[in-house]
Amino acid sequence: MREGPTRRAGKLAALALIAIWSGLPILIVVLSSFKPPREILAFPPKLLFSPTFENYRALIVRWPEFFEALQSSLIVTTGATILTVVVTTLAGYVYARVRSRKLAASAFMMIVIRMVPPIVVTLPLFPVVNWLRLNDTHTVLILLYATFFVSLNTWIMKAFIDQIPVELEEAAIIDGAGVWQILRHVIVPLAAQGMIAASTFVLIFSWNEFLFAFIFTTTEAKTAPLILSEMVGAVDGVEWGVLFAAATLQLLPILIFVIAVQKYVIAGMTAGSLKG
Amino acid sequence: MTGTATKLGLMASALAMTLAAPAIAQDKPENLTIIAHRVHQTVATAEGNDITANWQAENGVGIEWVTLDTGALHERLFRELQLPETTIDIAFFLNTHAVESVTTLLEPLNAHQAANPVEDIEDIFPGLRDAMTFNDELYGIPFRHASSCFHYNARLLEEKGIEPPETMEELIEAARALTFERDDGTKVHGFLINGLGYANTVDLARAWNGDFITLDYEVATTGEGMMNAVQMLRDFYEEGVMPRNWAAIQDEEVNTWMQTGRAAMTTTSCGRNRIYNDPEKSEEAGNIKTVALPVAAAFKDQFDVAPAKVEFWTMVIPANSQNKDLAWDLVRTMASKESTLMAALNGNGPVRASTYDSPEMQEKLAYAADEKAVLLVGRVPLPPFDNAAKASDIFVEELQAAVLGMKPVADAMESVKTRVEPLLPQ
Repeated sequence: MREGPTRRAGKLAALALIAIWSGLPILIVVLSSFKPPREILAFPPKLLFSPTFENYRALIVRWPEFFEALQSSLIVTTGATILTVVVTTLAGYVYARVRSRKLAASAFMMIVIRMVPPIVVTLPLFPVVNWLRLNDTHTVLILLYATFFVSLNTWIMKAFIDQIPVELEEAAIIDGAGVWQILRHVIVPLAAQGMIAASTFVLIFSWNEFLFAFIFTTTEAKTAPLILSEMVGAVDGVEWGVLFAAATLQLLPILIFVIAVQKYVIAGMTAGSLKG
Repeated sequence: MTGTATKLGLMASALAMTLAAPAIAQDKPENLTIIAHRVHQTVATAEGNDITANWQAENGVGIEWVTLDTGALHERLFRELQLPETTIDIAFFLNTHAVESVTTLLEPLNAHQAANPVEDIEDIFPGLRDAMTFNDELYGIPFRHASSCFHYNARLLEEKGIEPPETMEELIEAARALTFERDDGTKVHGFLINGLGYANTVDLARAWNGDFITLDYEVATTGEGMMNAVQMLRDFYEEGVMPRNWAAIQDEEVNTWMQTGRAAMTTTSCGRNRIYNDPEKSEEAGNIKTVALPVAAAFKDQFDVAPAKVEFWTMVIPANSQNKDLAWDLVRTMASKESTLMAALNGNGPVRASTYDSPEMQEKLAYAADEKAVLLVGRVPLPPFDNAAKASDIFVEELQAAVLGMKPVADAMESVKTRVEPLLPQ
């Protein structure tokens, strides 16, 4: 049945509304980062303005640590993403191919762990991390971020690997392939889409995460969200232009990445949904 | 034999020195770690005016600043204080957290002061020192204060032919006269304060020498001062002197409204004068004047200015820190007269009376005399106690109900008294 013009217009209007609702705050942040400081909160708002890089210059001069923190964010995000993807691909493969009561129990445990609010484990962990001398290191954040995403990503990977015919592996076994060869030459290439989808979740989380970074870092491993929080908490008035410039720089890499891999993200979210 | 003995002796000495080297190095660490708000680092280490530079050079010790937002800073500090040992050597500590129970976690400073004293400690405003003294033992050295002043837009006052108010009654009338609509249709509000905090309302109550909770822990919300202040806000809200969204207005909005000329007068930290008059950020640069908050006419014979709120930061040394003597030496350097003036010129609120008398300070700060006047009579907005955060939440809840007209002012203030009294130290 063909869609009527009214229905079609209604759908488009709804989509436009959702796009504006979600995109407008981001657009305001990005545009404001190019406004002269006194025009950012002018009333009535100024829609036309001469763009300036003044806020970015001020960010470089007054908050050099922001760029070190961005570097830290990059290290932690990359580390956590790689670790999670490797671990969950292997775990997903096992859950997809092996059936046992112990495995079922461990799967249940993973779901339970996922349900634990991070703050519950975070504070008791502080003295332990301190004792292990892992405080203020990238390692502790990589381990924590990976830990909290192992359960979700394992299930995503299991759903993907479930869709790979077992016959392909059987053929590889007949050709003399071992487990690692099967993983490397059969599973990984076919599950790559799932790996990208799974990595996106942990990547976005790690890039934006605040609580763990706040508790376990001091100077060396401080990530960008902590600096943004400091900017908001200025006691002598927030420098909105500088804050918006920093927020734009913080937003940009993740936005580019998500746009580039969006089809895999959708695939990841719907993985296994058609299985009967 | 002698030669062999000498060789053995030399070898033993070399070995001993090698083994002792790390121990000697540990006497003076490579760095001292200071946990602070960024503003402390900024005012202490401004380029060309770094109050720590000479100390670092003389001692061969660097300083590592760990900066966090106010809430985060204290949360982190209290966690560090619970550990067997901490890497933090000096912490900046807000007066609202200065309760007696915390003193077990901090280094007592009387012995340090006796052995290696802070220069002319009596010059530091006594109210600030007293707040960090428990059972005659000093636990923190004041570094920065934020006192409340009255800010008004001189251009708007002149436009309306109004003289700057000198009493609270004049302020109320001025606020009404300064509420109008601009030619472009934008409304200007005569008066605006933060609608989500208690401190600026306490400022207003102080114009009648009122309070929320007195320093001896009496709830004073049903007293004349607080009742007048809340009634004034209620009237302002009803008459449109304050905007309809007042209950959602935070400090940042107050700043923006003053900078854009949408609010004509406010009561907030004196230091905000700088951002209100910053030509890069403010459309009203040069128009905002800062003076001490006027006192009500009936109290003119008691106070020259209203005893507005004074909040302050002190430098403390954690009891579990590893370099206490060195940390103390840095604290006393940062608290010297010269350092206090240097930091004040970098934008700090100085804690020494003598700093306000210096020509440099008077030249830099047009409101220096007014700020000093506030400091001489001002007091903390709330005495420290464990349930202070809960008590202030209750106050804000009832204040909003009264100002928005959901409750009569008297009922709301009575309710604060009933609900807060059980939370006070017994």
